[in-house]
Amino acid sequence: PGEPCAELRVCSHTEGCLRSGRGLCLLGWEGKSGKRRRLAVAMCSPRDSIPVAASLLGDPSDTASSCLAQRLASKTKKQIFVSYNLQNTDSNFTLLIENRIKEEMTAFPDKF
Amino acid sequence: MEAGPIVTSKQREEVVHGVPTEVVCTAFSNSVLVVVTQYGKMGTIVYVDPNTIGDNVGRPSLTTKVLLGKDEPLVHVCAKNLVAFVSQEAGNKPVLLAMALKDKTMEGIQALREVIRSCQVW
Repeated sequence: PGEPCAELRVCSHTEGCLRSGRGLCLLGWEGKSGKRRRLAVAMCSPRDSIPVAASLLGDPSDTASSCLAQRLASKTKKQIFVSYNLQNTDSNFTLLIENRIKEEMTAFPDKF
Repeated sequence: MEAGPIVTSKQREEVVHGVPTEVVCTAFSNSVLVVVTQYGKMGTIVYVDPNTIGDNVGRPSLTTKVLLGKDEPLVHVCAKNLVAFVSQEAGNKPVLLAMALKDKTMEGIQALREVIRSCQVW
């Protein structure tokens, strides 16, 4: 099941320049085309157990970016920016990607 | 088999007018992402979009839209001054700019522009 993810790569743009202590993190997850069409932001709220999310760029009805941002924000407790640009909308595939990003976060904590 | 990176990115850390500054530039096929930070934050996110119609001297005019953060005139001015050349040199691509600036003086912006230029990925 890890196969599809092997073709993709996690692009972290924080490069350690955004202090994690400030609770900020940017993730660009891009497909093969390398295009950035969508951008969503999510962060934890003291008033709600589910992180709040907003679509900043692209079609707001396309929730892939904001959903992923929400889930990552919930895990990391940081502000998360996600640009999700993959055609495959299969939920299992999205889950694989999420796990792959989490793997990356564990392996390179200084980059996030 | 390891493929080459889909997107190219360059990063630079420099002290600009006494303020530690970090710049990250990433080229996507349809836009350029520029992060300029003096606070270690993403700060204000501005989308700088070149219009196809252009101004009277043939250059495309730029539309700035604040996606996240304070939407005030100075933000638009800074954004245009910082990344207008990026958009132009990249072949009139839109630029997504994330900026968190301590120094918003004209001299400061000019110096930052040079740091951005040194991270050329477009």
